[in-house]
Amino acid sequence: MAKVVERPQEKTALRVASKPVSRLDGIENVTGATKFGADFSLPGMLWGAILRSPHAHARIRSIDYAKALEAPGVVTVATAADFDDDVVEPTSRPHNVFAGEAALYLGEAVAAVAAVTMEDAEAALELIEVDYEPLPHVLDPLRAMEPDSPVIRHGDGGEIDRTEMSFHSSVASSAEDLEESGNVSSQVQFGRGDIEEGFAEADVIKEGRFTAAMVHQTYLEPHAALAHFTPAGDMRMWVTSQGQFYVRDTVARLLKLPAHKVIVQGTAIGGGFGGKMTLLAPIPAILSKKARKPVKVVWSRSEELVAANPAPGSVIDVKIGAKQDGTITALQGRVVMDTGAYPGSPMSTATMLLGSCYVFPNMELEGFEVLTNKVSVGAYRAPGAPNSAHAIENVMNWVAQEIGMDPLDFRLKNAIGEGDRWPNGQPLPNVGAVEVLEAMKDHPVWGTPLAQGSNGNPRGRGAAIGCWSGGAGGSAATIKLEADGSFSVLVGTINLTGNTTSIAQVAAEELRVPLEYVSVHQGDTNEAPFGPVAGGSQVTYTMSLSAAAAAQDVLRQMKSVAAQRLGADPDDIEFDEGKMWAESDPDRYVTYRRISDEAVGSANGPIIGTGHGKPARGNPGFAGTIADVEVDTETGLVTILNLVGVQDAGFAINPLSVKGQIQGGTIQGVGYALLEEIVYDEDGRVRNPGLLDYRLPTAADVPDVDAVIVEKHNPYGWKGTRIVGEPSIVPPGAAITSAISDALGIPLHNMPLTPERIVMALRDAKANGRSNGNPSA
Amino acid sequence: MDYPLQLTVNGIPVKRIVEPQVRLLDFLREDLGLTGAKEGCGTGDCGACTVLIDGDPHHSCLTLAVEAEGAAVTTVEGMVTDDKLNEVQSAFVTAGATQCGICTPGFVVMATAYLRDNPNPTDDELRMGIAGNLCRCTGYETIVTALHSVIDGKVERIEVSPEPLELVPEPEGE
Repeated sequence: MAKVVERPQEKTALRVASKPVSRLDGIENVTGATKFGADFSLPGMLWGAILRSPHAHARIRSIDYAKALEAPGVVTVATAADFDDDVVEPTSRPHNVFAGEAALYLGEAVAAVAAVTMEDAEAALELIEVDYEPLPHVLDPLRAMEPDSPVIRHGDGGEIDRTEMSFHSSVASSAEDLEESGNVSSQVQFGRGDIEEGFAEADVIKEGRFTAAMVHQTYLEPHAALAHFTPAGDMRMWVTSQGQFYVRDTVARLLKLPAHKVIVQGTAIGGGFGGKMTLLAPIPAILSKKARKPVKVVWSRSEELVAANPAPGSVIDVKIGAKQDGTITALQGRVVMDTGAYPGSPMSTATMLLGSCYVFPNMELEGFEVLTNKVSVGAYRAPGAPNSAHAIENVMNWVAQEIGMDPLDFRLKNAIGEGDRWPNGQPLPNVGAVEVLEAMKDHPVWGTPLAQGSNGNPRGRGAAIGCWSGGAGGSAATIKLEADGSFSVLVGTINLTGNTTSIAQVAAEELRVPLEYVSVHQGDTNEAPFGPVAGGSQVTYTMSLSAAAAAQDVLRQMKSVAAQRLGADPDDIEFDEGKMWAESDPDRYVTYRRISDEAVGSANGPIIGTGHGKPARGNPGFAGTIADVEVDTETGLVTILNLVGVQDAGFAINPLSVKGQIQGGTIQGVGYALLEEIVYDEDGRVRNPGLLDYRLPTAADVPDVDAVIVEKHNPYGWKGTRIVGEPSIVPPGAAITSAISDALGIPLHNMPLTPERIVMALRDAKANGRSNGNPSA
Repeated sequence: MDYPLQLTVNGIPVKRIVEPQVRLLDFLREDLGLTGAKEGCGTGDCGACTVLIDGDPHHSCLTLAVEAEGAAVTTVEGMVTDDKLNEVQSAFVTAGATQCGICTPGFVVMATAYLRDNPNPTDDELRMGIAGNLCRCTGYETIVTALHSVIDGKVERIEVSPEPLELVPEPEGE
């Protein structure tokens, strides 16, 4: 069900854009023909294995790998000593391939071995002698902020590398690295109006402290990379990553190679969700450079859960004041984000997003990014936003309940819109917050009262919205007219979400041919024009503009060839369905096939069009979730009865794909709300490094998601397109936890709400004489 | 110690010498180049490595190659017949049940076996039947929809080879 809110009249009817199209790579996927990272091999290839720190925090006095080098099958060993000091920044995770002076978390890579077989490589790891001096460690970010906490940072600090976060959000968060002290690696503050006056004006004030767990993106394909340093000095790589140009630039920098000599082919990617950037790629690259042979490294699932770059846990305080008529008067918020061993968390984004959905006349927000001796966090689909939404949206529901207002009406009364400002002071373009809220209100689930639960178990309903700014990077595409009048599109972006299908739809629409006439090829970093990282929901948003521009370039050249043949003016040429003709003489036409043939011998030469550019600006995407739940008060098990996901896609180029993104993002939100948490023991060891104990939602755990596409025209996107991938994951955690709170009648403050946490919360409420009452009381 | 191994894989007889500790998954992927079966976890929790051994679904990551001695192994590469996708594969393509695609081979193999043995499951039974296969992208809805279309007999098998393009005729006299 797509609800069209706003779309300008098209001059010609749309032929493929806005139509649901099955993925063009669907047949390859279902036959096992698609080649992912680990599926690439080369003759004479070695296997790499990684030695990891057994300590959460330890100085590395020395590493001796002489015995490992003598072991059967071993060809080479690499450590931090193989990278020059001037390419390694102490505060940058991507540039700290191996622990140098100290290991900062249990599981940090210390060395890697390349050997003829995986067994040989793994056996040799045990022969590497590392002299560790264990140091005191700290795991809890609140404890790490205390003056007497162990200090994690070593060396002189240096510039903090925030490259990976910048892919995901084009909106400056004006994060100032204020006076940094102890383990606080970054601080940010946003203010507006007079906070004390704001709360003084309020009739109702609600507040709470919310915790969200560290969770893993859990792409089903672990990291994998194959590198071959050829005799010609080319570093050829096959890597599963969201950004092949980012991998190339990182490897070129670390190994001091010219960019054009590092040739990266991004493979098909088995999920990324923000977590697949450059983590692994430099390791096979350095091993191959030393061994002068191809080297492949594939991570195990436990390496993923222990040593990748999961999403950060956080502790967020939120306090909201409102008048009895529903007008919000003040927001106060404080974010503490656990960034793990290196800076680079989405702390400033999370802080800003507290104030991103509603108009807050008075506001005071502060955020702290805190180092701990845990794995260094990374991006996960709308990084930091689910944590923020969990806090702010639960409190919004408590305020609505206290003043006796429908929670969606309360939101509509305060919803942010065009010209309103985010906490960073940026005025917003025409965002769809209001339209998303209206679509939620119109949904049958919202209009139907909850039925009685089974066996007397309580039911509850929760609603929440959220947003994401998204990326809006530069991109390029080329299109060739082929001999039979078909077209091939060349891109350098990774097909993370089925975006090649959307790009093919854009090209077919602009060129006015059936979709079967267009194929899209993802070239390596030397073949393909630059494309942005497939993160920040930006590939379809940016590449649709570049593909359309390339198509227009192709059409301009085709018109000039056609005009010559027809003896007409190029400006007089019309085209459709594989034919061009002069407007003045519509009966004489020339086929695209003929144009292709003629062009080769013409002054124009073969027809190849390029398109490049950058959207004039990003335009945030809004999403909303309605969740109905039933809670078994005996076992704490939550059953989700209804789940509605609403999202403003601007213009859905491929509604099948957009719906798939909404469904998938919403179910990942179920994982946040109910199941997922990386658990550490007191030594800093991950206690659940496998998919049995780190529980993802299964088909038996989740309901269908009623995905509703709202389309509010975005003036900066191709035909009104907005970012799509990320917003859907933002509100579900908030909506589901709020529904559980509603069912039990007690305020709940943690994600995930595992059965254990629910039973404990009920026990606490009973002990305090509170339950089945008002969660906002 | 090396073992001589004889089995059939996707209908083709195979003879190889293998070491006893080699997993069936690695034998298929590394020795035979059949990379359709994927390793998502290596511990039998995600289902991405599922293959059929004498018709029954197994985690090839938890099976030694030598355990398949004399057996008929079918991988996702063996599911296309007469140049057409099977019904589960076809339904996956049409319903948009594959996003990134890494879990898809395991789902196709598992669901093909499950629906052969349970042609008329309820929605709950179907969801439990595929709960041993994890998908992170779709939220499962399109997968369940695809399988219901198989159960309802509504699936037309898709040709693997693309149709020839319908070419625009050249103007008369050219």
